[in-house]
Amino acid sequence: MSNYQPKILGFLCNWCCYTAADSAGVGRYQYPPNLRVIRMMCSGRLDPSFPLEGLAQGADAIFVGGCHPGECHYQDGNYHALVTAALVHETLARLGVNSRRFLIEWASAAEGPNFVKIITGFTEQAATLGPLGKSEGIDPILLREKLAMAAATAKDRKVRMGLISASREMMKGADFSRRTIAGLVHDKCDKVLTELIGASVP
Amino acid sequence: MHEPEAATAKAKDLVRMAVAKAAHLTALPEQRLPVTPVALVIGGGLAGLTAALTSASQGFPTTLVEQGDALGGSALLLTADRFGHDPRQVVTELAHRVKNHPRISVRTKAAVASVSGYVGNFTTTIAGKTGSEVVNHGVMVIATGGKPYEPKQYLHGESERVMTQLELEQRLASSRPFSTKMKQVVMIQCVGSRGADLAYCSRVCCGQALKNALRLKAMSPELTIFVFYRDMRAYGFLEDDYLKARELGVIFIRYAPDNPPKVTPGRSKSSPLKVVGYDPLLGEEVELDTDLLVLSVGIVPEDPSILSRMLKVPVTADKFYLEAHVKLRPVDMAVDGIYVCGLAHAPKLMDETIAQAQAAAGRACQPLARGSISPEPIVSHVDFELCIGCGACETFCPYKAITIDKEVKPRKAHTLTASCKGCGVCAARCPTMAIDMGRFTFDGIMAQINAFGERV
Ligand SMILES: Cc1cc2nc3c(=O)[nH]c(=O)nc-3n(C[C@H](O)[C@H](O)[C@H](O)COP(=O)(O)OP(=O)(O)OC[C@H]3O[C@@H](n4cnc5c(N)ncnc54)[C@H](O)[C@@H]3O)c2cc1C
Ligand code: SF4
Repeated sequence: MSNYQPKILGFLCNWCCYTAADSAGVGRYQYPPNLRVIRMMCSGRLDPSFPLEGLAQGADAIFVGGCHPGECHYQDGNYHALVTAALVHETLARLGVNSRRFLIEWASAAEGPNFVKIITGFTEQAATLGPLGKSEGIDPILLREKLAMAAATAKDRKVRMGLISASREMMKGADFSRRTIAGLVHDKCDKVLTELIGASVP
Repeated sequence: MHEPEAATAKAKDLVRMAVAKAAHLTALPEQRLPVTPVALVIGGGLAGLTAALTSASQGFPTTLVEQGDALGGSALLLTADRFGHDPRQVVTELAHRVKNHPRISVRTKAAVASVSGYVGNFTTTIAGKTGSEVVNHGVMVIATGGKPYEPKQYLHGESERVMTQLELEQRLASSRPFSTKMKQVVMIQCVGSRGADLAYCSRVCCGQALKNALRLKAMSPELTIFVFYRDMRAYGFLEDDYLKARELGVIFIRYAPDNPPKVTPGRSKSSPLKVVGYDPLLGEEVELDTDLLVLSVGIVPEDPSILSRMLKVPVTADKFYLEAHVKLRPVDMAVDGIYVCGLAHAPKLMDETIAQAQAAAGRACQPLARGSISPEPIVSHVDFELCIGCGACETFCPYKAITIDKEVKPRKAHTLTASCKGCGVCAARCPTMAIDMGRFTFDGIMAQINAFGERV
């Protein structure tokens, strides 16, 4: 295990992961102090530009936490968050960023210990990857510039139209597996992402 | 914890991020929504009865839903409290008052089938004997209680000489409790609790064992009583019972979780038993001839899975309802307008159940008495300049709270503030970034991210 102290930015939904983090604190569970938290009402609020901007601003890794599938306080916000997350992974792959720097996971409000387990594991993983750019073998300053550009790209109308049709098809197909969602997002956004950011780094 | 420097650095970062976001806050118009001044109580045990009576006597119509055919719950299994009063009588009187209260409607053999809405405006369907019924209410109290743990260990069910504290209570209240030949009684604490079956301490069983030991002693002072315990949880005034029991000669023997006492059956189902346990004070095993073995069984919460999912409220790993904050909001649930009391929340004695039920009903009456609520103004709003009327927001909104007005040209999205819950999925999907969320604005979150970046 590496001794590097990774900087991790987290986006947590108000009802599950944020409450889980709170109850982990109240319950005096020990977990690494690396996470900085931004609260949102629902993981479905996650704009694709948030995690990309987080990495651009100096995070080594990004965590998104919501309610378990089927238990979203707003019915299916966490499924939409999976769509957004798939776009983030697509983008990272194109920039050559290790996909393990971005994690979306679930812990219910009652699962303080589970939240602690997820964050502990993710922090260890991020520590092993080291500072952003290290495991990638890319100059970090250059990489951050590209990430900032990608965060701006996520606001592009065509990219977001792609997300809309991916979300639509996901709801219609009612298959919420990460693999299916990644496939949908790839189908809908590949062309515009290749145009704006470049093709996937093999 | 125990990393003061890292914790301080984290705190500084979080404060800096919060300040950055605060710079983007704007005054938001507050809405006022009317409240239906009615309470719904789920569960008709001591907690539910007390809560219903408390809210009804403050003037609010209350509906009580009980799944069983009678009111009263677990308290009917007890035959005395530590002062010798009979809870069955008290609870029966309470149930009588509830049933005859002009503002309380009781539904027995009924269950909550579905719940929708939010604080001030819940709509609940109750499935009952005679079909289903819709109740509009402003708040609800969860009082679904618990059950005694059913032991399989220590020969319970195999020997007539083994019973639970509850079964002992029934015997103690009967006309001829025990034969005069009974000389020696052994009690074992923490049966089911604090271990593999139930991870937690059931809280009431130590007090119950002390109470029943004193009752036995009062009946026949000659009786020898041994109590195998792990830790005697004789908190508060129960300490007096513990001291009294010791003065009367009850012998307490501590046992380790990995070395509980062992019970050997007698020749037949009805013959006396042998209990062998290690006494750490003597430093050796003791063998006790036992006429009666009493198991202090723990409390299992009523299975909350269906109801908690319906209400979207959290439960603990042990399946008790989890309060919003242990110290600051001890009877509130994380969802506004829902409150909890009694065994549904955690094991507790009857007096504690009553106090908590009054607290929960007291809290529940607050929004009812206020008459209106102002939901957090975190709703979506649409920038008409940017909106292209594509309708993506309308497709994904779970509450039909944002719609395209088809009558007006050009087509634009409109928020129905009363229905919007502020989840923000519309903002995350809007292709032109025309939608923003109150208090969770795009710029505000971006400012948080930038502030995060300042120090790294
Ligand atoms: C083994 C044991 C020993 C105890 N010993 C003592 C003691 O010695 N001294 C003492 O002071 N206290 C003791 N207690 C505690 C005391 O019994 C409780 O504090 C009190 O009775 C709890 O009341 P309640 O209303 O919370 O739960 P309950 O009495 O369990 O009532 C819950 C009610 O809700 C109903 N219900 C459940 N789910 C639903 C649903 N989904 N819809 C509708 N209705 C529902 C149930 O049918 C039940 O009627 C003991 C408890 C147990 C289990
Ligand atoms: S109250 Fe006493 S008997 Fe019951 S679980 Fe706790 S320690 Fe064991």
